[in-house]
Amino acid sequence: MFDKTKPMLLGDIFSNAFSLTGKTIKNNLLLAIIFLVPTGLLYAYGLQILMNGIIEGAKFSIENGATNPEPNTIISILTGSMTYTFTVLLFLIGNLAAFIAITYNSYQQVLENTISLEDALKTAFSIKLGKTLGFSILQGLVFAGIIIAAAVLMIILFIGKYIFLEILGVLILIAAVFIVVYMVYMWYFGTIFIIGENSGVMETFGKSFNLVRNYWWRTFGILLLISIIIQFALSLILTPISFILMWDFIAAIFSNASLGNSADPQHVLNLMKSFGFNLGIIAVISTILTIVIQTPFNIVLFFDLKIRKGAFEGELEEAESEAAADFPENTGDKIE
Amino acid sequence: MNNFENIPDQTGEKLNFDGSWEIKNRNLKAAAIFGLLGIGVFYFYAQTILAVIFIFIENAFSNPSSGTEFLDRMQNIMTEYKASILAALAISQYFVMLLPALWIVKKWHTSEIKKYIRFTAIPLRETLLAVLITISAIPFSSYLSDLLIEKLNVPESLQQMGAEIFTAHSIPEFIVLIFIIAVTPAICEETLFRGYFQRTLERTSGFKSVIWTGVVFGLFHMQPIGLVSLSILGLLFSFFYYRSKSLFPSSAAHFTNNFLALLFMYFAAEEIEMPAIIENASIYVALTSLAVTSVLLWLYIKITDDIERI
Repeated sequence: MFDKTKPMLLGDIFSNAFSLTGKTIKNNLLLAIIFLVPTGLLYAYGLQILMNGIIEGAKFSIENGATNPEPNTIISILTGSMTYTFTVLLFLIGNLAAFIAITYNSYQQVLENTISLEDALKTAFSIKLGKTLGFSILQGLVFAGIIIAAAVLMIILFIGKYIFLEILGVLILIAAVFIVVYMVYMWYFGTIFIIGENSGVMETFGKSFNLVRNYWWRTFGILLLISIIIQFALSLILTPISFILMWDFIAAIFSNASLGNSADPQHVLNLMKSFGFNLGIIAVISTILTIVIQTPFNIVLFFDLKIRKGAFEGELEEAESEAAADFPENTGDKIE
Repeated sequence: MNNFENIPDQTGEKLNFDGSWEIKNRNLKAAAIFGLLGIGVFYFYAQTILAVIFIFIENAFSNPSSGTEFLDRMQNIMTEYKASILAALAISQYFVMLLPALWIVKKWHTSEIKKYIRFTAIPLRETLLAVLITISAIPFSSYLSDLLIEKLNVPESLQQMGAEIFTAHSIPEFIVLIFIIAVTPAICEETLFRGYFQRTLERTSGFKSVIWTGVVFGLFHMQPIGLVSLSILGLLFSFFYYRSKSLFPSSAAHFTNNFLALLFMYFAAEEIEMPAIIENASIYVALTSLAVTSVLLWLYIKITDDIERI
């Protein structure tokens, strides 16, 4: 796919990621649609249910001037929240499955192994799903633990009400945030080790750490740049799509703006009933595009770091010996 | 073959491609896309930051008024900080759009920058015809915009708020606005979109680069209401560039469109009556405009046939 003997510059990363996207776009898009559209529609539905509950509560308050909501309204909001939470979980699982399938497909493409859509789908539901989930949960627990510990320490230091200790407490919390950010990028490629190389969960932490070590700033900078560019591109694409999906709502807002203070909030609330579902659809489209575009970049960056760590030195030696065989040392004979 | 594949240059260009992207034989489509997106990101951030800084400075020396309604307050901000917003726009266009685009051409592609972006002289008739086509298309694109505004019930105050920043209330102000709103985008945006993005895409995609650049031009303005008319304009400008193999027709067309928009807003502010064909373009006027534009475009194709330029 690309030269595994030379470390990549930023331009090479962009160029290779673009080419990799091209080679995998069809299958990756299909995989994203298979996993994310059904779960995404459920998520959009869940968001709609939540919005309905909130809207009913708001309407009741406006109609009756009540400050304490009725029991029915509370039940409605609670039901909506539970439904929404459940659909969020489903969407996250769909997200994870899509991520695994797409990462696997892209990884294999770099190694020039052709895999079928079926293989990618099977991978998404293999042991790798459990490992990736386990890795993500462990990671989350570590990060949460660091932040919570720092927050608790800060609260303890605040009790004394000494300005010096309060400043120390804040600095500890800030330091904890920096530590978490540092670790996020040190462990960034853990999932690729699991999906591409079938690593175990615990050994993955060490592998990713070793891969990024000495290249933290470079990895952080490139990933930040890539994510900013991708998000900018997505905002260009999603602005008109969001506009179309929210057409009725925007028209109602403009109508009310024209009416000024005599606008009817009930009218806006009624229109918000379709707000949740459309917002959910926008979120799904955004997720699909992000996952399809971002993953090849992650894979190319992963391989670049491996090259820099000498993972393909065998190939480099082979390439050098082949070059030497083609161009033997000059023994002084004339070359005709 | 997929659309992302690294296809070699199809145009047979006679330039010395000594830039790093060319030497390393990297994907040309990737260069076009990441060059445009990279500059776009920095442009939007820089413009916002500059505008905030200038408004902050201006605010320190003035007492901003406020309205009771949200739209009134927004309109007051646009009126009172107009100079800051326009200054930020102009500076970011030259320093964060034009200069980086030229730098990317030199660094990535070739040291022959002028030739690459096609800053080349061509017969005046092509430029004049491009200007005429743009003028003839105005009633049609105005009709589309007005239709959308009507369907959305966009309030008059919101329309005025958006237009206020481009409305001159005196001759000197009008001249300044011509420089910032008409001349500057004609140079800077054309260099980036046509001179760099379209030029680079064209090397592997041919005519498709016209469609891509036109649509991306529309999207970049981040104005959903104006997306259709901006994309139509973008397609026109891209078409001029593609056919003439020069930046001049598209730049002149861009200048013309923006200048006329400023002129109409100036007339509206001074309560000067405008031709009905512009102010209230009916569907018949729009269709006539479309027909005239089509004929002129056909003429443009005829006069730019058999052009062997770089």
